[in-house]
Amino acid sequence: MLLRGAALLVVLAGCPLDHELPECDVLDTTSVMLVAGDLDNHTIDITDGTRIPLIGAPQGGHILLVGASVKAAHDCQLVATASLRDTATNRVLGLEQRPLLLEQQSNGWAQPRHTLDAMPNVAVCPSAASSTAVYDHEYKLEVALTTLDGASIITASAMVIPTCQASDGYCTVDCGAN
Amino acid sequence: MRLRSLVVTALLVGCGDNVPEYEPWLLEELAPQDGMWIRTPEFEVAAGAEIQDCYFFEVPGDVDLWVDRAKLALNTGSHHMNVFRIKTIVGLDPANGQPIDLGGVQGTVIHGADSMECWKSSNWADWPLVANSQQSSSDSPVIDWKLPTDVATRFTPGEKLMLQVHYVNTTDQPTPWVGRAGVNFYRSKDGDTQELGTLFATQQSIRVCRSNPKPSYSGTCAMPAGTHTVVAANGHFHSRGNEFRIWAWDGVSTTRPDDSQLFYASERWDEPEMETGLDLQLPQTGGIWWTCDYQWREPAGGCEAVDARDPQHANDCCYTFGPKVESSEHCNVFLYYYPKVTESVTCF
Repeated sequence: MLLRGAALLVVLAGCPLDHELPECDVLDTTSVMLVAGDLDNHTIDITDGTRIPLIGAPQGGHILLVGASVKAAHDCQLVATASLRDTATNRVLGLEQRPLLLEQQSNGWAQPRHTLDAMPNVAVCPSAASSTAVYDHEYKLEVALTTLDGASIITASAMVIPTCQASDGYCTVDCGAN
Repeated sequence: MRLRSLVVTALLVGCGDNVPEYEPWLLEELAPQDGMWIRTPEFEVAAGAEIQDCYFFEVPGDVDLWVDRAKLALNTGSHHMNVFRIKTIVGLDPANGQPIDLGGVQGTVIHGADSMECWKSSNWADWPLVANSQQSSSDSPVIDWKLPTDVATRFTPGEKLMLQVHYVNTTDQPTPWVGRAGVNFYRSKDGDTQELGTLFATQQSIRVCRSNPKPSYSGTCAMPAGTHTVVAANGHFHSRGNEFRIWAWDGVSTTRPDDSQLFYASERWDEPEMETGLDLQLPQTGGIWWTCDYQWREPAGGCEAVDARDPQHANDCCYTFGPKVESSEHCNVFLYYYPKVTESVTCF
């Protein structure tokens, strides 16, 4: 009886509690859409050549708020690693890895929540690795999704153009050439 | 008179709670030819309180001060002590402080209890790090940090500096006596030629919630091109932090470096080790990769204070970025290298 109770506890310990956001059960590992967020709670689908807003971050500097949408049946989470690479030098300007918090949409996709914490905040300005201004130049965005245990699910990339917002006068200074 | 009463109070507390008798640390006072010294006054830290004060002063003298040794001293209970070079004034202006005698220098102070500006990190976002300590245990209250041969920190006469001191008096991080901090910067006399540089990196918009209790955040921080040798490092998070790790990173890979590249690891949030004996050459055009692992915990006093400062108002007991130990979290890297190539390497 005691053993049975202990076994039950072990099983329960391996499962998320009811209130915890579960890991995504990705329905189609060939379908992924890179996305970016802005401060107006818009989600921007990313393809080659997409302009991505440089966001003045609460703690200083400028970030790209980037992640990915996948096909999943519930609200869920994965781990996302996002990075911005200067293809002229192959150096990574900034990289961040964090939980990717996804909300199910009616079209079968799960899309990152509209909050700053829900997808990687890739800190790109200032960056000691940039060979030119970060804004208005093309860089390679790379996103890798894994399970919570680190098993690879999907990777994707696109050439993007980080872009200062007209209302953010400091952006061209912070993201200017070193 | 006030100081004496504080010490008496501390001694009384010590008798009742079996706390060892208060034995203040001692640092020597330095003559100008030997360097620069700073002492804060002793101050009371009430039970349950968090205190953060910002002290401002100028580097004395009329020639550059090259410093190849520092002693950083803290009474038990300190959460951190940081020294920064003052650059852009945003909301934290030394001119708005009250005059204060800091021992070897005169300056001003802005108390966090009087002004929230001393708590807002955006106020010192472009202020380069000079030195820091998070070690305040009663058996080891002083870090004696000697820089490698030929390496020194350079100050210019009249340069404005800030010493920021954070104290906590809670069950997790008690202050049994009084708060107090001191720094000695020892003048180099052997002709050091390589300047010490610093790196400060922090994770943005972290969130440790009941519904997501074991998040992990990683980031990279690239160094300018060149050869850089790390001599010291420490990490900083609050009590939900389980493990802080820093690796050397090649500047190209997007997966975590192999553990053979790990050069700093700490599982202590309250007294994280300051590694001062490092001699690590980073990869050319590389930098660092760092990771903070967290475990959510129910706050001792309930979730009310944590929920109150959640900008998302999610009522999920989420610890978010902020300076208060009890109700917020951090994930910061303090790193020291040579030769200095830029005023400050910052990643945030």
